[in-house]
Amino acid sequence: MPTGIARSRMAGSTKIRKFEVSNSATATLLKIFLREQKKSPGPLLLTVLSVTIGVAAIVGVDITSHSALSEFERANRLSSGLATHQVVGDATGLDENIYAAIRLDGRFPNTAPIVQAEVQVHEDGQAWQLLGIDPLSDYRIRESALLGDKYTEQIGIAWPIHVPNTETWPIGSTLTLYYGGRQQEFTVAGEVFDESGQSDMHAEGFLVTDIMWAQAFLNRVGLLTRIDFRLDSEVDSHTLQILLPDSVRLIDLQTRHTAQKDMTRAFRTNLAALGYLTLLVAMFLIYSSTVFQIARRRNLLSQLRAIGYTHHEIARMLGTELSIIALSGISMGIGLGYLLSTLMLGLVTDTINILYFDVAHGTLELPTETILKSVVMGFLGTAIAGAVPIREAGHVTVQTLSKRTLEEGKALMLSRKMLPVAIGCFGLGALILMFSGQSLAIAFAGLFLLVLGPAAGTPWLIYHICRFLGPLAGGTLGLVAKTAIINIRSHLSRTGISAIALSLAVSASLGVALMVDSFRYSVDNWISHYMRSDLYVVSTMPGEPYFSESFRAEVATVDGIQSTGYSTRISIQSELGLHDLLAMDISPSSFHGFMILSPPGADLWDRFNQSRTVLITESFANRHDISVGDDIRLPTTQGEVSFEVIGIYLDYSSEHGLLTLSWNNFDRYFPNSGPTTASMMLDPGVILSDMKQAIGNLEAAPEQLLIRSNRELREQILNIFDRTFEVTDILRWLTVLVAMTGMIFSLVALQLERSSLNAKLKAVGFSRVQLAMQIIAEASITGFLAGLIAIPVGLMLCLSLIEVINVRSFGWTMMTHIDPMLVLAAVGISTLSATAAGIYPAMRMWRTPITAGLRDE
Amino acid sequence: MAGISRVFDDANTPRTVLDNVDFTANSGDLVAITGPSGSGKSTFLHMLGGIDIPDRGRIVINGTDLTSLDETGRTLFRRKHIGLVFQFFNLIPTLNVIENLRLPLELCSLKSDDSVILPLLERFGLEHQAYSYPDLLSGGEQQRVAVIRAAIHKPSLILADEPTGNLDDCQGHVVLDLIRQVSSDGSCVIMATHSQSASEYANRHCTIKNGRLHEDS
Repeated sequence: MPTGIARSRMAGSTKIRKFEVSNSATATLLKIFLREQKKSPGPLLLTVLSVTIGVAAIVGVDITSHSALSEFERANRLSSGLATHQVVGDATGLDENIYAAIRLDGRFPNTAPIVQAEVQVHEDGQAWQLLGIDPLSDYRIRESALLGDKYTEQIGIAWPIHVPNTETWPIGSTLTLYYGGRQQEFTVAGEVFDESGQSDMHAEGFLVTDIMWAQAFLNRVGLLTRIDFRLDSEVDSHTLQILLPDSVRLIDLQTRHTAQKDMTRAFRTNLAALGYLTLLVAMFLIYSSTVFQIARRRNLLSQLRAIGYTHHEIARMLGTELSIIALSGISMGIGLGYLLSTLMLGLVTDTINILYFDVAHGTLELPTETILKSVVMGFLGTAIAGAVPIREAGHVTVQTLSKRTLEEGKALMLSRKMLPVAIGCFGLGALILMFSGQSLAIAFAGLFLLVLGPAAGTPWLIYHICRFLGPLAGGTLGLVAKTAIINIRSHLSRTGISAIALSLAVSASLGVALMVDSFRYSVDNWISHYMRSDLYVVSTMPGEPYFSESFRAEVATVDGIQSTGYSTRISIQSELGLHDLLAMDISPSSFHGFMILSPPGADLWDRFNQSRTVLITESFANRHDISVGDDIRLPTTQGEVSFEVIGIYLDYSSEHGLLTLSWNNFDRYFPNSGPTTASMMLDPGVILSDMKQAIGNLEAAPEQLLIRSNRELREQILNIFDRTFEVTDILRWLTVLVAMTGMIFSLVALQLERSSLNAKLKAVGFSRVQLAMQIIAEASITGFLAGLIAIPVGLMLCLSLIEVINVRSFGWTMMTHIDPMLVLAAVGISTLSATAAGIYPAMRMWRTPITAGLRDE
Repeated sequence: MAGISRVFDDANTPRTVLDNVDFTANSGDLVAITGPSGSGKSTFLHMLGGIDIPDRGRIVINGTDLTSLDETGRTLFRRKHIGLVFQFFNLIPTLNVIENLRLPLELCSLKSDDSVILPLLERFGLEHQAYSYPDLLSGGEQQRVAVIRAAIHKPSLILADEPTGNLDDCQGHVVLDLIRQVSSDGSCVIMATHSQSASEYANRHCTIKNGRLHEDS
């Protein structure tokens, strides 16, 4: 292909507008690059690894969140089918005559009754949801009927049950179910069928039977758990509402599901932010490795320029090469992310279970949007990280051929260049954080910049600290330390970017760790105030969560119990959405354990017991912008009733907020079957184990009781707390790992370049031990300095997370608690990871013979 | 080349390397440029190769004013009209001899198959190394390949910077013989050298001293 040149005069010079190199020359250029990579694949593999880990973090978080939510939706779909609304009663159930009346009315044909309860299966010892359906009407809601066409085959079988998988429990085998002190053997009659008529392997957690058998087993003859409706319009729901008695509630399922999913949004955003942080750190690594790959081939690039390749052609080829690297990294990142999500899914679903709603562990899914997102983010990250070095590579001059080193002279220039970037990022981040309104995503963007800014200033700071330390080190630390410090300064063009990545990772890790520690400290403090009782009792009997009047009366007669408080918690849907309502029948001394935030210092005991008053938690107040004195309208058995907010208190038990009523108010306005939790204050000297036994032996006590001491419950709460942050820890360490890889990479690159210098130093009498120590000292000092710089950044991040992100995410404030050990640990991690990163380059130097190094020269 | 001046900034002190230099050469010329270290020999070659641009003056090669071209323009011009030979051979290490020689032909979209290259290698006694990689060649062989690569696409001008600086006398003479043959094929060769024996191969001799170029008669 001939070279086409069009020239135009511009500012006294001729511009070549079009230039094309022949295909064969392009192919040769590609061949040169590929052979070069094959000859020395290490840097290439590290660049691919950088992209891989960055993408894996995003994919892992995305798949995990998606799979957990999908499981939630699947469970909802299986349970609710095509239902748009549900009618529910109180915990005791719904009179089935209501269903009969609705069917007789004739205006709502698409309706089906459901009896549902959690039962225990003897064969596997697990809790399952037993779903009792009416096969004759259920197809209207769950189109192909949960039991499929084979339903008719089971007619005649006593106590039939359908299971998700007949490979585990074959047809004809028996399952023993426990509920409320009763047990019953069921015969496996078939599989639960999904909409496609295929065996639904994902229907884990659900057992299905005819409603008649379910009612009999659950002792709910004449009662339903709910009635499902498929309504076509809003008008239908209004008509239905009029038809229903006041004691039952009509729930819009779409609204409820959306509200439930919204609850997890902040949690998922926080996880996603950590994923993106890993990608950000990986981008530094990509930048660093791209710079190295180009520096390593500087001579080659100069030769190509001398022969006649233009800088555009070289930059284009380097871009193509980087795209191939990105593609490989993205593909592997998706695979690794999938593996990572297998590790995280359990942790995330456990956290969702603890914090939000029940969801089974389910199966992993790789959604198309995750693949698209990872491809876009992977390419974007690589392009941003690689653009500057590739652009500079295109401008490698032919004169480079006569020069040995080019980059080292740029060390100070680099650090100076990064300084305005650092200040700009920091300022912009602070502004965004201040003016981001309530948007969590924008706040996170601001936070990223806020952390990135000081990290970008790391090379400048390291340069100047080393400049200051250099003269001091010579006298006190000896030749090795002095040379190491001089080297750090002069090789910042190589190590500076890795130091930024390390500082960024360590500061983020420290910030998150301090925030989690502050949170834990606040929760611990809150528990100390809030949980004043000695024993806490709950019934674990399936179907019998409530304490009967007779049990309460018996407890009152037990010697050694000073006072007993009772409480229960229900979920309600008001005009403010879906939230929990806590009702408490407690003594004044227990009430004083509430940490009242507003009005400060107020004694609200009397007002709490007055009619139509309510306490709300801080997170509820922040989420719904409610203050003391405001009214909240709640759906009650007496219709919508306004409750006055008399106080706001600190609570960490529910991130989506909590309304708290006195038992009097609760009893008057909400249908209830009694309390579900008892808390007891004991007389001094009472032995806890004896008291536990005494309560368990009470005649009216539920068959299965969980009795925990204050210490046990406190430990359990803090264990749960720690579990909810395990997934955060994985991502935090992943980020540090990426940064550490970057440091190894930079130091290896540096040693490759310094092989001839090392050989010369060996030749003049430096021992291998001295050189190895120097390399390791260089790494350690860089890591130590990066760690020191990370301290103020980590503290700032911690404060931002506590004051801004947590308030927006969860609506609660917390005490700032700075544990000096965590700060020291961060510096230690930074120093140790950098030191570890220095070992391999030192070993490499150790193995390289002097002659090989001198030959390179 | 007319009125060429080039001043470098050394630690904020201007240093004039070339001062109002005029120079003309024709095809078939083999010009030796000599002078002490740092006198500006390499800078002179860089100017002619479009690698560097003068602060003042014009450089016209085959009717094209290099000083009026931008970086890309100069590269494209160099690709077609100029061949470069360096002291350290600078063959592409990941390409074998034939592939190294093919590169300039491909860049100029010229016929580049073995039938073009092998006869050249035979002519200069390198056919046995056709498929060898540069690191398996001796210094002299590498430099001969580098000279052939610089000349293979028949550029008007070949610039050689200390082509024998890294070779022993015997190998140096073989390379210089080759350079003379290339020159006699019609290319103008300008060679910067320290070596008296190398300069004896040239048919024109110039010296750069104190920034000025003097042609020895």
